[in-house]
Amino acid sequence: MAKLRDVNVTVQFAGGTLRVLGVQRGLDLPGLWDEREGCLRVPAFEYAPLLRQIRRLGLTCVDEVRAYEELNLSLHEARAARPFQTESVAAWLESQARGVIVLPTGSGKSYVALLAMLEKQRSTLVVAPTLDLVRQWHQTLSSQFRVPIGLLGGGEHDVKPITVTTYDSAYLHMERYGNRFGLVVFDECHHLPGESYAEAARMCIAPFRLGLTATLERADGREVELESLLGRVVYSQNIVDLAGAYLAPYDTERLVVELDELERASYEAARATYINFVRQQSINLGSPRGFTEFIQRASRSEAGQKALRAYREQRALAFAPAAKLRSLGELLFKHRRDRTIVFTEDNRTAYRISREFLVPIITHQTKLKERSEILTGFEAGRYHALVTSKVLNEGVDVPSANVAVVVSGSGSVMEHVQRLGRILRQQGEKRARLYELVSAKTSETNTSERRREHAAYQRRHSTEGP
Amino acid sequence: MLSPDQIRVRRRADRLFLQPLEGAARTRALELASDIVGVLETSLGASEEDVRQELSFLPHAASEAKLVAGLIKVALDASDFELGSELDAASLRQNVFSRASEVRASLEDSGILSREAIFADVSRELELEPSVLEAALFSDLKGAAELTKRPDLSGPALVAAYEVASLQGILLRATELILDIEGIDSVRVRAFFRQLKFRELLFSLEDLEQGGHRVTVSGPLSVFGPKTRYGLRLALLIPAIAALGVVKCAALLRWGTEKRALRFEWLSTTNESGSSAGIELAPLRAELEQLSLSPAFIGSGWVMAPTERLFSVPGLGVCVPDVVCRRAGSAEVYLELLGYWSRDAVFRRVEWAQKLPDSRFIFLVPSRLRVSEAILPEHIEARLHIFKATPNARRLVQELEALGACA
Repeated sequence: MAKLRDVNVTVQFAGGTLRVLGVQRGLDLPGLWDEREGCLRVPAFEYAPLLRQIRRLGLTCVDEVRAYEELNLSLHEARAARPFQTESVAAWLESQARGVIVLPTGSGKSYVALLAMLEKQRSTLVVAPTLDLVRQWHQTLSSQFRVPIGLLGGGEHDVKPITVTTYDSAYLHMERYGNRFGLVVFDECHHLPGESYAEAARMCIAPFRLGLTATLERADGREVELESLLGRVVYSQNIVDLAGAYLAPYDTERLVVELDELERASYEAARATYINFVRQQSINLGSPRGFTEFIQRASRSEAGQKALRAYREQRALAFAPAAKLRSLGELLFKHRRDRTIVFTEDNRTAYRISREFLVPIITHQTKLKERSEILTGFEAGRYHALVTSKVLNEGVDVPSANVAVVVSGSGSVMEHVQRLGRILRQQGEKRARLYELVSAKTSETNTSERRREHAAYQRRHSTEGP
Repeated sequence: MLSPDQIRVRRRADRLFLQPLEGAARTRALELASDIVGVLETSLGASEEDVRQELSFLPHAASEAKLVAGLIKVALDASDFELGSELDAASLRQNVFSRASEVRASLEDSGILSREAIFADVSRELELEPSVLEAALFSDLKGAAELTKRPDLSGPALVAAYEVASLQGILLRATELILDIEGIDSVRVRAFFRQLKFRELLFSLEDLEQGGHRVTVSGPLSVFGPKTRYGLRLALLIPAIAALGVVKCAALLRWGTEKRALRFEWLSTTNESGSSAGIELAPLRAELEQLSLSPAFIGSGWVMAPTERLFSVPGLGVCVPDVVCRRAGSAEVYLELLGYWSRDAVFRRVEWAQKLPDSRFIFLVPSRLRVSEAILPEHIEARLHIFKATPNARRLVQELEALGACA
């Protein structure tokens, strides 16, 4: 019988997994035996532990997996890192270059990633949630490292030792390119624990992993999965810690508006139809599956479909009553020489605002060229306001923005904090202001209470309007 | 492809059933399909948003909601929409919004921004009517595109397309396919396995007690648990499965928002009756037919017959012999005629033969592949039969005698 050290093991990258050839079943290695190919199959993200174990067992190994390079990167415009940036990278390195760094929007998370890349000097994949962020990362990496940067997604398919991609494209293409990167950076990494996106992290061999986020918490509580995908939280600072010193000081103001008589009557009627159906069906909307159950039952009967239409109607009335649009008009006028971002929950309201107030709009339908024109125009002062639904919630850098108006939104704390974060990047003597418009005596009142449950909104600068 | 809320399914315990459109249900589906086609016919030139709204007014019962939504989806997918205005809407927006921003910023404390004045100003510059400018401002949005071509489908064709799309929509959520195949010739089986390889899917193969084989198809990651990431590739196998003839199929699914584990079964056929009658094994390839009719072969007592036997070697794929040679008192010997394009294929056969010690093979290899018979170790019960123009019947019989005698 052959001694273990005489065994020749070959490890290959195959469709986002590792195929281990030349071993028999039952050997003390990670992974599962795959009858279909008569080999051991190991998740790609266990590449480093697999090699360590192979070495520990004294086996001879042919590694056909690793296809990433050692780089020689340097920063073109090096600047003194802020203390929390240096500390966070040190904490990450101490944790075997794996883990999550939590820093508020506008505090310079991208620069933290650049410092991490300089430390590890390995082929790097940066994964970001939106095409706007991908474009922004591409610009940052190109200008700082002065090397060609690859792009994957949004119609581009150009993989280079440093590449930027979206979460969607990472999920699609990691099974092909998962062995090409030694470091992977997940920007806005709270997106990662979704069932599909997490696969992107598992299909990648990168031994070095960095997650960046401003708001770790997810409504479904799955942020705990980040530890196995990227590593533990190695460093954390919040808005309140950095406001004033590294972020712009800010105020928040909630403006409560009343529905007019006709709107109120329509709202009450629609709400009654919706709530009656929910009660008749004994649906507990407070339970985690309550709303899904409502949608499912609504599709089964005429009364249900009527209730669903009523639900949408009362929601639309609360989101954009005439009084909100009047208040928005006043705010746009008041801040006509500032830089204002108007946020809505839905595209319909965003387009209505754009048509009515003649402000540029960015939604998922806005092409990259027009988005760039709007964001550049906003920075340059050609536009003093823009309206968006959710696509600017995260990451996109608009340093000159100093006013945010939340016309409508979800009950998500994360979304509300992200929207505040959009106006907090420090610039000169800027003081930021966030307005939240809330329809009185509607379900939106509770929604607003829920999304303000964060330290950033519990400060003395937070005020209530009329 | 359709989403679950557009597919008519029923769930019982852990099974999912596609509700057949039969009898009155089919008659009603044809009525609805014809209404939808009618609406599209009369909506040429209307915006997508208006077309959708018009279709949403089609009277139907709540129980028909999925069918209507699915038929509309299939019909709209087969329609053409084009931008309604030739003006560059993005450029118009840039002009209007920058002018509005400039005017608003310059207003005194008591000033009011006039939309009409902005449109009048910009339209003058662009030499357009203000109403044309305002109408074209968002004419590039998806919902604003105009219907230019209705689907080239009759009512019955739309219903048929809906049925295919429903099956694809279900398989999109599949984590694994299980196919029981029987009585299918080597050419079609090889074409099917080539599809699996092309789509980077993996399979396991087992013999069924009642004859035939069970092929279980999934992806590399599936070994760690059910994965719907291969659903699209599995759905795209539908034509390849149909080309196999009558196949008993099952799909394991993760269905709905809860990703409930369900099993879905269907019978794939190439004809509507579901009968295998009329599906015949393809005739022997010319070289093999010539061999089987040669006097040397006929006189040997060996008989050549098509075979549906498959041999799976994990990691190497599946070996699909063309024919089996039988003679009383001798072991069965399988023959595979190789093509001209791949030397690697020959080396793979050598590996196969080494890993299948209980089976006897003769691989008929064209000499232009430049391989030697000696690459096959002597102790293996297989032969490489190298030939120039056609295989040599006399030599083949000698090889059959040698292998057959090993029984």
